[in-house]
Amino acid sequence: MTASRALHTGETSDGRPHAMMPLGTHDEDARFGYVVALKEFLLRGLDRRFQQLIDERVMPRASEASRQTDFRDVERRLRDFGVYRTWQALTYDAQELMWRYVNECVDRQHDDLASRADSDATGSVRLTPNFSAPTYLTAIDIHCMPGGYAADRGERDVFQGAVFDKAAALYHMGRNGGQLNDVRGHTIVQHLHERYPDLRPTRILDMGCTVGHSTVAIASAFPDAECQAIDIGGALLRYARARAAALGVAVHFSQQNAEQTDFAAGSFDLVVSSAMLHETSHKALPRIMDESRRLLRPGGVMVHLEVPLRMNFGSTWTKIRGHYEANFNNEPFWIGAQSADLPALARAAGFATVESGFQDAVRAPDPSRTGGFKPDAGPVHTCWYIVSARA
Amino acid sequence: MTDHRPTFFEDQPGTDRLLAMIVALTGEVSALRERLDTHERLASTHVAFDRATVDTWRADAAAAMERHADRQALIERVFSGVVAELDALLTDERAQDRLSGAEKS
Repeated sequence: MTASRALHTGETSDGRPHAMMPLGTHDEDARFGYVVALKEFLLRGLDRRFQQLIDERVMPRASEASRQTDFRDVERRLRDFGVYRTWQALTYDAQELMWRYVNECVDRQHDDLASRADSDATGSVRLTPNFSAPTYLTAIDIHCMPGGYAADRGERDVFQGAVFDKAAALYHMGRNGGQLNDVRGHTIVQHLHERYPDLRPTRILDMGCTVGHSTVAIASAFPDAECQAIDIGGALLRYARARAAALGVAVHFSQQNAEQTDFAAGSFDLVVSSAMLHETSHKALPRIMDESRRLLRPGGVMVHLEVPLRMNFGSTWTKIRGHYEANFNNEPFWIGAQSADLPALARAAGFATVESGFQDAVRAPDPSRTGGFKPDAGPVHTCWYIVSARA
Repeated sequence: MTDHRPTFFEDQPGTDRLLAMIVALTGEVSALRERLDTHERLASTHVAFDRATVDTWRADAAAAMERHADRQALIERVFSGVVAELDALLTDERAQDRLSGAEKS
């Protein structure tokens, strides 16, 4: 209930909506409310029952031999049950409807959003002519978002950014910091307070920043630092700059591939990413770790935050749910990233001491707090997986 | 950007589309119900109002909570059959054996 309440007030923590957030009409807000309620129903009404069925009733009945079998066998058998296919279809429909509703809302006010973006020149956007985005971000539309991260109609276009920002607040159903969606950014800052308390960054890079949800939170924690942020879409980055400006933060955005940026070696004290790695590939992961290492000055810190569902210790239903996410919410690297040994990849990139674990999610970082970084995962949205290291 | 809609009911043409239409239609009913709720709230003030008043009216926190509970109840009524089918599976040991692979069906 508190989650829905945060969503419908449409406010930032200081009580006002940020100036770039697309606002819904009466009926648009009603449809957003419906899609949130539908997603809550799918999670609480259906997903939890499937979890109970598979993890508590079915798996204990499986023989030792079949308990060892892949979750894919159980998933295949589930397809004989209409209720499972109904759950799949409804989950897909809710996501598709969310994008349709948000697209309509942004489409109606795009000219106004573009003008608002032009009204404050804080920060910067540097685009690369004929930029070639990695195929793992262009081959399919991740999260089924029409046009994906890359779509850009040029000039003053902020469409994809506005759609992503509005939808993210609905998608996370208030569990990631409401309209600001900045819990992951604050959680990275909290991790720095707890594990690297002496770090005073003067230059920060956020990789895969999308509209800067985490970037703004991190930049706000280190107001004296210069903050750079990269992603692949022009419309995404134009919106991100204007959004950061509306929140009073200057961020320098550029259109770049995290595997190979054009920044000088040793030019950052802090390199971070928030839930980016699972949207890359097995080939890209070591390259991103290498690039993080290259960009850091000696003593600089890398922090990559990821979803806390590690496939190695998830239950059978969690894995079947992950299978859905990978195949039908267009997250093809969902399972690959969760199975990858990220600390080993960091060590291979030349980081001597690597930390990995689960950081409690926080809405406001607190330098005096300790003990939030743990070896074991809690439920989704209460913690985030983090791999970090000092160069 | 080569997305295409997956088919979950491969052997039942039209079922996926039918479900998508029901989900969208329920959304329209929910939005309509909410518009009616706005009318009722405005009517209770006994002050004349028009379409623009409805369009610009915004729920306060208490009204937003009530409206969200209404949406949840609407969704539960429409999709109750799906929940009932899952509840039946939770006590159906034969189906559970079949799913576990302990029994070849």
